Amino acid sequence: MKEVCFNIDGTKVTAPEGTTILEAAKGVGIDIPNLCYDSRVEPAGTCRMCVVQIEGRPGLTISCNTPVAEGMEVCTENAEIAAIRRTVLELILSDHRVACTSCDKDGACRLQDYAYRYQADEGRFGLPERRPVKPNYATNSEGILYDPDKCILCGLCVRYCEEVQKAEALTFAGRLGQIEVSTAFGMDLHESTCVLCGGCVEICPAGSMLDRAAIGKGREKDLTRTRTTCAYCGVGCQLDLLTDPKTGRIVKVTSEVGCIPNNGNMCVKGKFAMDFVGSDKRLTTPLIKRNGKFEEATWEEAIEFVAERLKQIRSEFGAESIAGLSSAKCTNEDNYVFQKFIRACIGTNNVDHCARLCHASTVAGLARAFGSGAMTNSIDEIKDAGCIFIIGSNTTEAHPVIGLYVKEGVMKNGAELLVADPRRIDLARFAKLYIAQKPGTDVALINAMMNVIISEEIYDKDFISERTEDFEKLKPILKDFTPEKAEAITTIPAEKIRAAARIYAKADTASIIYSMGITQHTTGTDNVLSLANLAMLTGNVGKASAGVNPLRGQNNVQGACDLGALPNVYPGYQSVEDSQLQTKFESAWEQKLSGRKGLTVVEMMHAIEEDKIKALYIMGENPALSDPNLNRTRKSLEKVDFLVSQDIFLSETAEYADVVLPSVCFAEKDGTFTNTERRVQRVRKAVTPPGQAQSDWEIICEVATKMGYPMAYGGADEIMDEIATVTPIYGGMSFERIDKVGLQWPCPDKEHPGTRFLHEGTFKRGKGKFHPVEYKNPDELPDENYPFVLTTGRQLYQFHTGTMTRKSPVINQVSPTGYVEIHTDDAAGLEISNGEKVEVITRRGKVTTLARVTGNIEKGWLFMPFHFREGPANMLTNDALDPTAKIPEFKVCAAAVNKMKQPV
Amino acid sequence: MKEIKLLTRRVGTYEPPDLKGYEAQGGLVALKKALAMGPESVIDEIKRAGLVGRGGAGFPTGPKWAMVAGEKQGQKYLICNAEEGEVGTFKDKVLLDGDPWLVLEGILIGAFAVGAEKTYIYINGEYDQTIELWDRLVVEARKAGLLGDDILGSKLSVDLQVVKSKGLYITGEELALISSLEMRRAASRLKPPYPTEKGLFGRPTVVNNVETLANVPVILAEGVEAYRRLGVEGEPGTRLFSLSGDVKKSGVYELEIGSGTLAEFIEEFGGGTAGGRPIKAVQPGGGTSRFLAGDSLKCKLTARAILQAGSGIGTAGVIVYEEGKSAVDIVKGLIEFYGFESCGRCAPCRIGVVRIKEIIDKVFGGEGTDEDLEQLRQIGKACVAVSTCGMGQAFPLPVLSALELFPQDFEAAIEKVSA
Ligand SMILES: Cc1cc2nc3c(=O)[nH]c(=O)nc-3n(C[C@H](O)[C@H](O)[C@H](O)COP(=O)(O)O)c2cc1C
Ligand code: SF4
Ligand code: SF4
Ligand code: SF4
Ligand code: FES
Repeated sequence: MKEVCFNIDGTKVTAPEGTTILEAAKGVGIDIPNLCYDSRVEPAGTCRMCVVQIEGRPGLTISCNTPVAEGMEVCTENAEIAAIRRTVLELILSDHRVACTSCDKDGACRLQDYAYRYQADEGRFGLPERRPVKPNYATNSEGILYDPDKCILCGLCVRYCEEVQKAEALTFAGRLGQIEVSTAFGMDLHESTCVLCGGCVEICPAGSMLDRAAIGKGREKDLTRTRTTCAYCGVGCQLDLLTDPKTGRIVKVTSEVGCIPNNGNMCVKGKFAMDFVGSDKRLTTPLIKRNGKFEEATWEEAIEFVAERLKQIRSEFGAESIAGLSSAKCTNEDNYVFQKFIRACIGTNNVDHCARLCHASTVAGLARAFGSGAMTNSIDEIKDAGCIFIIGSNTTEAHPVIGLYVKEGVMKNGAELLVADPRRIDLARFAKLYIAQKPGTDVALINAMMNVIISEEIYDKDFISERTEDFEKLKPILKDFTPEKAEAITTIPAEKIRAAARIYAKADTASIIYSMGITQHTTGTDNVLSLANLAMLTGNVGKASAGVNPLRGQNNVQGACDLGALPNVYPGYQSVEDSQLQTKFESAWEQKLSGRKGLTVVEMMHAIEEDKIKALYIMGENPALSDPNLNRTRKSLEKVDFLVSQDIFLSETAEYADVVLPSVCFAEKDGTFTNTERRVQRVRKAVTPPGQAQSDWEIICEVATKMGYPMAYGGADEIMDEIATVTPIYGGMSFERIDKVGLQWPCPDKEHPGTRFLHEGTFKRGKGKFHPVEYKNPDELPDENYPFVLTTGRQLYQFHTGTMTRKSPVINQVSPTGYVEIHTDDAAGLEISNGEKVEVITRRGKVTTLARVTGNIEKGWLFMPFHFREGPANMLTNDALDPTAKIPEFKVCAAAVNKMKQPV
Repeated sequence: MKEIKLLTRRVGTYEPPDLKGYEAQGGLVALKKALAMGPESVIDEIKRAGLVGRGGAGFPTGPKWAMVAGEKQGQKYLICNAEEGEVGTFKDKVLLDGDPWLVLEGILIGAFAVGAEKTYIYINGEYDQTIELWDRLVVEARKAGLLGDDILGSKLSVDLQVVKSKGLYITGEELALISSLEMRRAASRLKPPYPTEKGLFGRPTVVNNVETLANVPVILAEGVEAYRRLGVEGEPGTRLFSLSGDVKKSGVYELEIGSGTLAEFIEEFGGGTAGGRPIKAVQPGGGTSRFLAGDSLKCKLTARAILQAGSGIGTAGVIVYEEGKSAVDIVKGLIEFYGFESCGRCAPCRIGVVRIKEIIDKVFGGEGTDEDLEQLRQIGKACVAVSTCGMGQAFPLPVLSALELFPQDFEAAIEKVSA
């Protein structure tokens, strides 16, 4: 970009063309007062505080909306400007109930800061009359408080909601003198289109919008601020936990504008769902089950008990009879230590974690096509893509902050958005083209798109010949995969498939974003391979703002995979079946290792049925709610001889355990998470753990040591140092380097700057490999008895099995319980009305839940979120597996739905 | 001084919406000429004629059109601003009622010149009969092939929508008007972007005053040279002056620009002051213009002369105040109106207008102090200096100028208390 040279208060400054005077001044440390500016929204120029004098221009000019120009001379303040600013502030104060004495915002308030700077007299133009106390749109909100008496009508909250979040919940209402922020018709916030991201609270420059739960619990200056990484989804937002040093509790959560990857944005979970940390339901002491009842135990007793039982089982049935489930919620350090424990101390590769249930097919598919199973590109590249193709990802619900980048790309940068999803997800609003494929028919759609791209010759011939192999094998199977043929399978009109293919192929850069809608199928690996084919066909790999981008679900599912919590690879995707690598780890860990790959999650459960697995050590996972075909899973948990649950709550799974070990949550420990864009980021201890809870890695080290394999580290940083020595892609990582901003792997050495996008110039595996993929039906198709296709998924307000989110009053207000979505016509046919209790039945089970009648789902299809223990969707789902990745088919099964005979 | 009938020549000579009466007197000649000339030549002619806006801001019309015409793709709009909310201004109504076809012809030529297929006329919500007339006019125009597709057999397609305004002063401001047309809150917006870049629904838009558009067919029909013979150097043509206040006869008069002085105009057309007392002050450009008094009333009726005299020609709404009334009274009357009209968007205007109103009420009620006068000056100055739109920049002007010209009136009001 062109740089321009100009002058601010006598100092020569250069800045890129288009920079505003306000921002340029900020860059050189001059704070031009501003009360309605935020870099994330368009300037609105409502406060008029930022006026400056520009040489040669009459009068004053606002600096927040004026770009710098070559040779411009700017005076940011003189006596006249200062006097005007003071008057403007005194006017604002005459309309603002000054209550710094009891205001949460005291000390962190721009209005207060400027009033002080200009010595503005709050009473000069009289004190404002207080408005009659009457309910406003936020009065009944658990999350947000709005005080119109303190509102300076800067409009930042309204603009944030409209421009960044695009929820368009907030607006101004009322006549002059009584203007205030409101919702459409003043409806309650939690019933509006608000998504409770808290952006309005965060952006408010005065104390008018506040975190309701934090009122009176401490001003920012009384609180301790700890920068850490969000414990929910894989976006990895950088959050600041503000804790009360006296009580040690989290008071509120904020985020800093400018931080990577979220730029100060959050979603409802990061902002409002940290109540679980201080919940009184937290486990505080080890528990041992005696005579069917849990009894409190000391750590010595518990560790001794676990070590003894494991040793005993190992000597009786062999190391292969023990399995461990590591955790995508835990840190990289915890995961590393856990898999090392299973491999080196126990002596088996039977270690896996819930990535099996979400992205095993991604890891398998992308590794085969590209050589690396992770998101190819970075989050902030999405907004600059020419085309964004979203398939099987309800991005705004499951990865809300990435959803913001998608919306920014479309609304600000003119990206063409293509959405393919069985449900009319929110992003469809922004799409150039929305298509609804029947669940489980993605391969047919993608094959037909490629058929069009090839027959219309809009593919990248150079890329294919220089960078890929096996294109010739792909062609034949695509030959008769016409859009018409795909229409019969997917129900998408052929013309729309053509249009989709053209939009995708003709863009300069096209970024594919997908998630579990692609992976959780018996054809999950095939789906992923198809997407890889599509991207390579159009030359969309190995460059910025393109690629194939699986969005990882859990905060650290990427890290858990990276660090080898998988049965077939050591940390860094190094195969356990490669004897050289085995030798390398044997010498690093000073122990003989097994060269046989271990069992996957669902295989472990099935192996218990066959008496092959006798002991299961589960760290921070809840298979009793998260796994498919729950009845079967729960039987296994019941059956296994010895079950350890190491967790922060007594989860549904822990109830089956023989020993429960209390661990600490993300806010209570140091370590790192790796987000979905491969960025390793710091997790920092902000509060003290409850009772005797301990770090996961510490507990594991103690068990290992007790079992005769000494493990000990002085801190999480030491573990990371060890990781770096054995994991080439993490070779350059250290706590010191990622202190301020995380680093993206591959980062092989201490000088390496990290990698923004993969496969530049050459693929990880050398050449990108095309895999011809035949369309296969899902494992279970609807029939007479089970006429519906049931698909499952996530919801913005909940996370995973709800153990964390459902402790938040804010969340419970908007998402109290589960439901099944059913099309209006189907509901009418079954005489089911909205909100009514219904029964959903599959071959595996029956669940009672509430009907949500909607036009956003196609006829014949049902959707259920899987978070709710009172209506567990996974009682219903199919545990048929993808043959390669062993991922179960959560996304498609045949179901029936019935009106309840009598009210329950 | 003599009235000159250029724009108002047909007013009262036919019965709108009768089109024949209009055509019989040279109507539609300009439109036909324009269609033959092509858009670019039309814009050139308007530029050469030196036409400037009559809505108050005085922006040159040709360049404004050229900016919108410059955007070649997508939807563009033209809006005829018939809000006419400024105090002491009622000249647009004369044209809207008396020769609406002239205004419509101006709209069509403008739409043709800039390439706008959709046009609006936004009429003051209190002009009920005018709105009714325009509704009928549109029906007639469609029948006559003057709206819709293939206008007058050409390729031109233009549609016109008549919109009844919210009846707020602020909706006359172009960006507030646009917001209101978009069914949003009637509030102004930040400039840039200007309406010519991002106007209605984010598309390039021309907003022109009624009188401005009425000039357009006249210019094309009479020819630029003939048009430029009227007026003075740099300010060609005529203007419709509204005359009101303490005069014997109020009314709207079309005058050649610069044909006489302000004082002469008031004397000759208004028949002198209502009560026969000397003139105390005059607002030459509507209720938000600064006061002129004494010798400055001898300024010529041109924008430049009025500016030099210390005020602005604004909407050419001349409001006369005769001796006998305190400036505090006068200002109170004005602020009573403007005090409710801020759109509330920017802080100084939204709050300042209310504070100024409160302080003037206080001074008027005999409870003012020197500090209050100082506050009036400071608030007024800040609003003028930093407000977003013409409302905030202008409403304090009469207050500030009254404080300068008639300090004794304010002091007298204060002294009443101290005494
Ligand atoms: C507060 C305010 C009120 C206005 N009211 C009117 C109005 O009633 N009619 C009008 O033509 N212009 C009005 N204007 C000026 C318009 O913003 C705009 O400049 C004008 O319509 C442009 O047309 P012109 O270039 O033909 O004059 C107003 C401006 C302000 C700031
Ligand atoms: S609530 Fe805060 S951000 Fe919103 S308009 Fe009021 S002061 Fe501005
Ligand atoms: S988007 Fe994901 S990482 Fe960010 S706050 Fe929400 S849950 Fe946390
Ligand atoms: S100056 Fe007044 S009327 Fe104009 S935008 Fe600002 S608040 Fe609205
Ligand atoms: S920051 Fe520029 S006007 Fe408010």
